[in-house]
Amino acid sequence: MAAARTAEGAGIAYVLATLTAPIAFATRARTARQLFAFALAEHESMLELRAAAARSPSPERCALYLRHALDEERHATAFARHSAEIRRALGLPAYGQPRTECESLYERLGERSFLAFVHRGEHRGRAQFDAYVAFFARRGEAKLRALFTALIEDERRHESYTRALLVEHAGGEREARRVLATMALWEAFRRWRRVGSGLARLVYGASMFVLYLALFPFALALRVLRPERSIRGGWES
Amino acid sequence: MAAVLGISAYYHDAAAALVVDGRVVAAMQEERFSRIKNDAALPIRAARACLRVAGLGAGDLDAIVYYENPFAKLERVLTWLLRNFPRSYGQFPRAIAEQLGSKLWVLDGIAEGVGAPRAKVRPSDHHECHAASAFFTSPFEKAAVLTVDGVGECATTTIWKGEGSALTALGHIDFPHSLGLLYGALTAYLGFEVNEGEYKVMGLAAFGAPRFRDEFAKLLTLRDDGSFELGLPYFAYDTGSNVGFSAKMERLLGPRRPVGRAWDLDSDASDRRFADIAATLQAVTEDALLALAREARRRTGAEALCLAGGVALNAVANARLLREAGFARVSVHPAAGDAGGALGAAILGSIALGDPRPSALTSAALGEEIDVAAADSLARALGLDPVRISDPAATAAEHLLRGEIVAVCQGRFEWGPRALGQRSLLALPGDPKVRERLNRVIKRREPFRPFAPAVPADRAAEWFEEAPSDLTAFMTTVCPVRPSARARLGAVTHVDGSARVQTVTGSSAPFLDGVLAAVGKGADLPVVLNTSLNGPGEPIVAAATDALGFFVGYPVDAMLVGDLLLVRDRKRESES
Repeated sequence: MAAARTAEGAGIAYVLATLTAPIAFATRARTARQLFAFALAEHESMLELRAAAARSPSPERCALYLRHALDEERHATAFARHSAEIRRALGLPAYGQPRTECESLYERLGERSFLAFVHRGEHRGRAQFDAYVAFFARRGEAKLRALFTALIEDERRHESYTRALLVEHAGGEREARRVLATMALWEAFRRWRRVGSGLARLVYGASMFVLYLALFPFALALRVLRPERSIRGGWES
Repeated sequence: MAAVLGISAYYHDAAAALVVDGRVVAAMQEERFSRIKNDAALPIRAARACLRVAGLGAGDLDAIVYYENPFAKLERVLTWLLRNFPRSYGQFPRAIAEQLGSKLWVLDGIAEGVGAPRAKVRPSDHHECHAASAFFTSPFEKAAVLTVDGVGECATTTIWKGEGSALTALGHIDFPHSLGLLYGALTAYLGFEVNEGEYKVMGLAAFGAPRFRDEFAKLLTLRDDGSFELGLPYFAYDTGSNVGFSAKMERLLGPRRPVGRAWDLDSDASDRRFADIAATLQAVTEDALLALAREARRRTGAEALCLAGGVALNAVANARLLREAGFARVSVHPAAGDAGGALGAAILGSIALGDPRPSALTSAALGEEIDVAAADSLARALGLDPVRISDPAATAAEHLLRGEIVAVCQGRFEWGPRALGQRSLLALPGDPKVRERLNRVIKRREPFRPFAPAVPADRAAEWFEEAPSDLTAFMTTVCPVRPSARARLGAVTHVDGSARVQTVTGSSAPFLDGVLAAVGKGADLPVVLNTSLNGPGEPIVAAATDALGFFVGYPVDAMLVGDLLLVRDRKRESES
């Protein structure tokens, strides 16, 4: 069964997850952090699907998105709970409840591209989870293996229904494949922008450091020219 | 005659509100649409929903008023960063990114998002908006107005005199001295999330004794004129810390409580100590608010007090203000926190354009109507078995009288953090096991948090002291449960013998009023447990998809969406 899953899940995501798992789960603290990162991803996905359910014109598709959103919420809760248990065992505080933003992808991309995006995410997620099941089986960690195993069935179902809906929405297999390819490009560009945003953060941090140092004379001047009015509290009128 | 949209955003609980011809037409929080609890993002979806309710377009708006002045706020932030050089280094990059990245351009963002000309968008003053939300929606012609929150542009606490359609500023206390930030810092110290866990601290306080008064005297000094001063070395507003308190506070009060640890108030000595700290914080906050209210009364000579700002959501303190501050009447806006600033901004804009002040707010049902037809279609698509019924209130009562937990979605959703019968979970108030079941399988809250009762206003005094009052309609106070009634109200009586009562009338919440009447006939006790219709960490249900999502996701026994009844088929669920 596991071998069959491995074969199915073979692909870049599976290979990458297999290669990075020993690093991502190297220590208990890292494992807790990684699980919480999954909780955040599932929570974000839940918000996107809720937004899709609220906007979809079809009650049938709305129902599918809603059930999917509830699954994602359950996954987020499970990941957050396991993360908190590990953190508590280490004497560390839990990360708390997962809280993320929503990119409103349904609204931005339209239903067809949204379906392609979700389908690709679920496919990637299943491949990753397959790799983690194998990894935790090798490490003899039954609890985490069981966690990922339990979620794989959901991922498989999500992968399957989004594919079917995409084909239906696109009017055929050929058009669905074209939308998926376009989405792969869109995701690659998105990843590129995220890398750029990470670099921009570094540049921003450095420039803010320089700017902060340059503000020293102004800080001195402020203390002389505008002494603190309310440092002692009290009423102002 | 004007249509004015008010907006609050970019700090906590963003919202939009619409006042047309001096009438409050709609007011909604963005979280109900984005499904992100306390969402602070620009509330464009809420603004569009307000316009939909009024049947207006962006072009019909005469003005859009933002609830604070972004330029004044930037000045305060920059001044604070420079004044705390070099300790503020950790805070500097983030503060600049926030201010220059979005907050400074908020007026342009609103114009673009709503689709209105930039010239129609203007800023107002944060605390004036709070004061306007409290006074102009109150039933008073003249009142003292007290606003207390974390911080606005610069002020954290203000006193106003409200008279007719005018508000006159009488005094303010400025950042960093802030009761809101004091409560927030201790909320974080106790392991709760700031701007979310303050209610939990209030509930926890009832389990402790205020034995840390000496330590708190170092955190907060109260003066005879009602003003106060924080012991700044115990706080960490200058270092970019996420928790708001410094290592010195942990040396004073002991180590902070870890986030997410399960509470055990029966046998864990450290948890009992944390409960005592919560009790002391609550007592000190009440003392400070009482002193502020007395000063407001001295300055205005008014017989009535209006309260707003996040601190005004402290229902326990509000009860003490009503009893001890010397005012004959006290009113608290139902959305007293930052969301309420949006309504205050809209009202100020409306009055500035020559419209009269609105009439007193009697119902918080200012959101969008639930779409029953959409709920019906979705329920069928989900494989549920919805049934149309003729008398939803009587049907709800039938289920309640069987000891069931019933979810209700009726009419327009509520404005503010309280579910007041439009998006509520209802149960009978007698059995503490109901509370335990609600907590365990649905709300998953800390065991010490109480549930609230709803009762007809004209019969409230039979079971609750100090009820009804101007505060009880919106659940912004607590009342002692009469000792003779406590056994019958076990699920809604807190450990200190109080309850956060909601008094209901036919005009404030017609559906809930009908349920109470029907329950009263069946059980001789027209009281129900009323808690918000949401799961843990979620905003309260707004639309049909949220409602159906809740029904599928949580094991309530029945749900009423308008006249649509859904009953949990446990047999079928266990088979599948």
